[in-house]
Amino acid sequence: MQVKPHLYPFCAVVGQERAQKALLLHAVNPGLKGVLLAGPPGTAKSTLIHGVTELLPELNVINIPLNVDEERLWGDWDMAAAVRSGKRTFVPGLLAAADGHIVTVDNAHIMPERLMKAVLTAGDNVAGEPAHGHVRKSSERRSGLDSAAFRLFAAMSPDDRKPLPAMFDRCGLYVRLETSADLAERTEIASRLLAFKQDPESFRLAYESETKELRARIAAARTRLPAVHIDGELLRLAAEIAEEAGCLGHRADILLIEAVRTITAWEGLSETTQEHLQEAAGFVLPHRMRAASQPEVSRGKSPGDLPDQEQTKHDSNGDHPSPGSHRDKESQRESQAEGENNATNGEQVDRSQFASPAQLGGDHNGEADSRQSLSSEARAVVEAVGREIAVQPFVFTSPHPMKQAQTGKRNQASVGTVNGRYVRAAMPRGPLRDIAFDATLRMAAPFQRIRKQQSSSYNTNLKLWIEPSDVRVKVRENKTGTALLFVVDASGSMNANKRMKAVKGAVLSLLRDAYRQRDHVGLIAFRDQQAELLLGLTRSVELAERKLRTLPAGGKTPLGIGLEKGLMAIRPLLNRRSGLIPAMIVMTDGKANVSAEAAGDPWQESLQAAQRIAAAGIRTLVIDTEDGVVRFGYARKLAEAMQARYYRLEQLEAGSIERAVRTLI
Amino acid sequence: MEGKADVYPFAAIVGQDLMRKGLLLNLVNRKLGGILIRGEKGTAKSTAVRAIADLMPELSVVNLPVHATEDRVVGTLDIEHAIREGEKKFEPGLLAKAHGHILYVDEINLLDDAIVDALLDAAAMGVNTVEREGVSYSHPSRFILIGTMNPEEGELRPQLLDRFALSVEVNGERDVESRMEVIRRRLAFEADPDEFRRRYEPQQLELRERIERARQLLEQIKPSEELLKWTAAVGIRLKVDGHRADIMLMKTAMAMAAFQGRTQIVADDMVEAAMMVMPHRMRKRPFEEGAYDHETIRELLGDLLSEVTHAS
Repeated sequence: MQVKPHLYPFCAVVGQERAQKALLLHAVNPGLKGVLLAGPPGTAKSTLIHGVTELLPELNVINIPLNVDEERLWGDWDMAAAVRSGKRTFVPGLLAAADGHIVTVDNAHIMPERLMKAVLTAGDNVAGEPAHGHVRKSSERRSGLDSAAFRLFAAMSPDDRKPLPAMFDRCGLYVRLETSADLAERTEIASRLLAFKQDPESFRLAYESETKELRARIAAARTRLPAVHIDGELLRLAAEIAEEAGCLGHRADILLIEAVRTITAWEGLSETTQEHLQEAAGFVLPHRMRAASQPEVSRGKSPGDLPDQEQTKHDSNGDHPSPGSHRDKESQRESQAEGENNATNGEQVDRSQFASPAQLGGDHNGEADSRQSLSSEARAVVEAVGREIAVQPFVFTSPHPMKQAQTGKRNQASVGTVNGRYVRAAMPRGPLRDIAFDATLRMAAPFQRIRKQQSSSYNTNLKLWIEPSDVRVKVRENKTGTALLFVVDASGSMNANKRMKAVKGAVLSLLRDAYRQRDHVGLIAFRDQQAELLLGLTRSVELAERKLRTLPAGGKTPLGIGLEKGLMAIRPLLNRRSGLIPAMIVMTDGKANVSAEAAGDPWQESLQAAQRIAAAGIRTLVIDTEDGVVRFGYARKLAEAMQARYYRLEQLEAGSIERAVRTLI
Repeated sequence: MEGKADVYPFAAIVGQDLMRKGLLLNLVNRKLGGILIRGEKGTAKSTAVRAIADLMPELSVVNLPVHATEDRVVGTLDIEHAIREGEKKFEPGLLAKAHGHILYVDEINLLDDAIVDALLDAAAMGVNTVEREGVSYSHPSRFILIGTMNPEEGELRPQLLDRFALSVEVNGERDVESRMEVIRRRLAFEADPDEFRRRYEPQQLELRERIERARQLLEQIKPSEELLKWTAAVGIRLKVDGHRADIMLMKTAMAMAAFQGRTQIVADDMVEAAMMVMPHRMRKRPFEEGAYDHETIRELLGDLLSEVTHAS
C-alpha cells in the first residue's frame, strides 16, 4: 500500500525565491546534480523539494525515509518467491529505479551516516551525463563502484547535527532558507497555508495555471539550454572565482558554468552576463568553500554553522544580521561583544547569588577554615564567560567496547545492543538475540522445497522450515554516548589575567559540542576548601551551561579533593553497564594548597588522586591554565601522574583542541 | 479497546489550568498539532493524558514507551504470517495504531534518536513510509502527539520541539488548600473509583458537550486578514524560527475562542494562545539566555494586543 499526501503547489510558496530558483534551474538541467536546502524548521524546505517534483511529472519520485535499511536501498532476494519456486529472485531496491529520476531526502542531516553515504555514492556521476549510471542489480552486491545518476533533492536543518561533507559535494546547488521577517510576506504565507489545509483540492486548482506556466517555461529553457554558450572571458572569470573561493577540484568550476548556462536559458536569453555568473556563484559556491578556508572561518563560531557563515553577502549572518559587513572578522567581533554583554549581566546576578558565605563555607567548620573562607569569599569573583573557541568533533573509544550503548553521537557501536537503528543483518556471533527474522526467512527460503521433501514425516502444516544455519541477527547502528566530566579549578589563582574567563569560554565551547554530539556532561568545581558537584552527569547541557555562568572563583586550591570528587562521580559509570564512555577534563594550574587531611601534603595528595584515576582507566585530559613568565609546571606533572593528555589553555585557543582530544583514544 | 473504568476523571483534576486547557484545545481541533508538557515528576501529567482519552470515548491513547525499538514504532515484517504462509506482510507499528488517536510519549526527551526521527518523519507528512526488512509500505499516520518530559533530564531536539503546537510548564501546586484538595480527591478515587467517577459524571458530560459545541463553532470561525497579519507580527517580534508558529498561533487562538463559546477572537484568546505556542519556539538554541515567561510575552506583545480588538 502506498499513500500519497496532497502536495502544496510549488508556485504557491512565498518568500523563498532563491530556493525556488535553484530547484527550477535543476529542473531545467539535471547536470546540476542536486539541490540542498538548509534552514530552520518551518521554512518550507520539504514543501519545496516535494513540490518541484510535480513540475517534472515525467519522472518518478523516490522518497528515502529515515527508517530505510540497506536491503531496501540496494535490492534484495524475494523471500516469498523463493518459498514458492525454490529459486532466488532479486527484487530491486529503491535506488535501482532511481536512475534518471528524482530522489528526495527530507531530513538529510539525521539520516544514518552509512546509508546517506550509500545514497550519495550511488548517485555520484559525472555532471551532465545522466543516463550512464546503474545500480548494482545482480548478486555481486557491495562489490565494485556502482552509480546511478538521479536528481537528489535534500532538505536539512543545519543546527541540529553536523552535515556530511559528501552531501555538500554531491549537491550542485545550495540554498540557505531563512524565516521571513516581512509582515506582509509572513501574513501571506500563513493565509495560504491555512487555505491549503482547509481545502487542498481547490487550493491546488487555483494554482494550476501557474503550475502549467512553470512547466512550459522549464520546457522552453530546456530547449534553449544547448544553444547557450559561454565565452572565454566568462569561462576564465568562473575559474577565477572558484579558485579564489578555495574550492577543491574542478567540480565547482564545471557546476558554475552549468549553472550560468541554465540561468541564462531560464531567463530566455542566449548570451550570459556577469550578473548570471554572480547569481550562479551564490548557488554553487557557498557550500564548497569549506575545505580551503576552514581554519580562518571556523574561529569564534561553531563548526555546525559553517555553511551559513560562508554565505555570500545577500544572506544574513545567522542570529545577528550585520548589514553591510559580512566579513568573518566583523561578525566574530560582534559575537564576542555580545558574549561579553551577556556575561556582564550574568556577573551582576551572580554576585548577589553567591555573596552569602553560608552557602560557600560548606562542610568545613573549623575556626581557621571559616575565617579563611570568609576572607577568600570577599575575593571570590564570578568571571565572565570568555570567547568561545572552535571545537572539532572528537572521539573517545570505549574501554569496554562490547557494553550496551546509550545513545549519543560521538562514538559508534555496532552489534550487541537492541537499541538503535536496524541497518543490516549478519551471522550470529555469541548468544542468539535480536534475531533479524526478515533476513533469516530470506536465507531459509530457497531451501524450502528440498527441506519439505526431506522431512515429510514431520509436521507438514509448516510452511517454512528454518535451520539454525539460516538464522541471522540484526546489526544495529547506535552511538555510544560519552560522559564528559569537567573538573574545573575555581581557586583564586584563576582570577589572574582573566584566566577564569578563558576557562569558561573553553568549557562552553566543549559543552556546545557535547550538545551536538548528545553527550552526557557533568561539572565539578573546586575552590577554597572543597569540591562541589555542580551538576551530575546529565544530558541537559543547558543546565551545565547555567551552572558554569554563575560559577564564582576565589580562595585556595583543593586540587586533590577535586580530583577525588571527579573519580567518585565517574566510577559508577565504569562499574555499571552504563554504556557511557566516561572521560574527565581537568582544568587547573595544578597549584594545590589545600589537603583533605589536616596535616596532609596537598600536592602529594593530588598526585595520589591522579594515580587512582589513571588506575581506574578513565580517559583524561589536563588543560593547564597556568599563566605568566615563571611557570611551575605542576599541571604537567599532574597530567603525567594521571596518564592524561596535556594541553595548555593557549593551545586550545589556537584551535588544536580537536587534535588534543582525538589523541585521547 | 481497554476498559476505562479505572481512569481518574478529567473534570476532577485540580489546578494545572494551562495544561488542562492545552489538552482540551487539542480535542477542539484535533489537527492542532499536539502538546508538550514539561514539568517535574508527580504533577499529574500522565493522569491528565489518560483522562483526556477517557473524556472522548472514541479516542484511545497509544503509549510509546521510551525503550521502544524502531521496528515497533514504524512497523515491520509480519513474522508469523511469513512463517505460516510464506508471504511478506506488513505488521503495522505504533504509528499505525495511533492514527486518528493520541500518541503519548512519556519522557520524550529520553527517546532514542532513531525513534525521534521516525516521529519527525511521520509528523511532517502525516504519512508513515516504511522501507525496511523487505517491506515497502506506507500508511496515513495522523495523531495527536502528547509528550511529557522533565527538563532537568535533558532537552528536546529543536526540530522535535517545533513539531509541537503547544508547550506548557507544570509545577506542583503551591497553594496548600489546593494541595489538600488534590490529596482528598485522590484518596476518594482510590477508595472507590466507580463512585468517584459517578460523582464527576455530570461535569464530564458537560465538558464533553462543551468540546462538541466548540468543534462546531470552530468550523464557523474564519480568520480575518487582520488577525493573520497580527499573528505574523507576533512571530516577527518574538523572533521565532520558521513559519509554523504563526499558523499554530492562529489555530490555537481560534480553538480558544471556540472553546469559550465564541466565534469572535478576542485579545485574551491571543495572549493565552501565545503563552502556549511561543515560548518553546523562541529559544533557538538550548544555550541562549532568556527563558521567556508569560509576563515577558505579555509585555512584548503590549501594543500589539490592543490591535487584536480592532482585528476581530
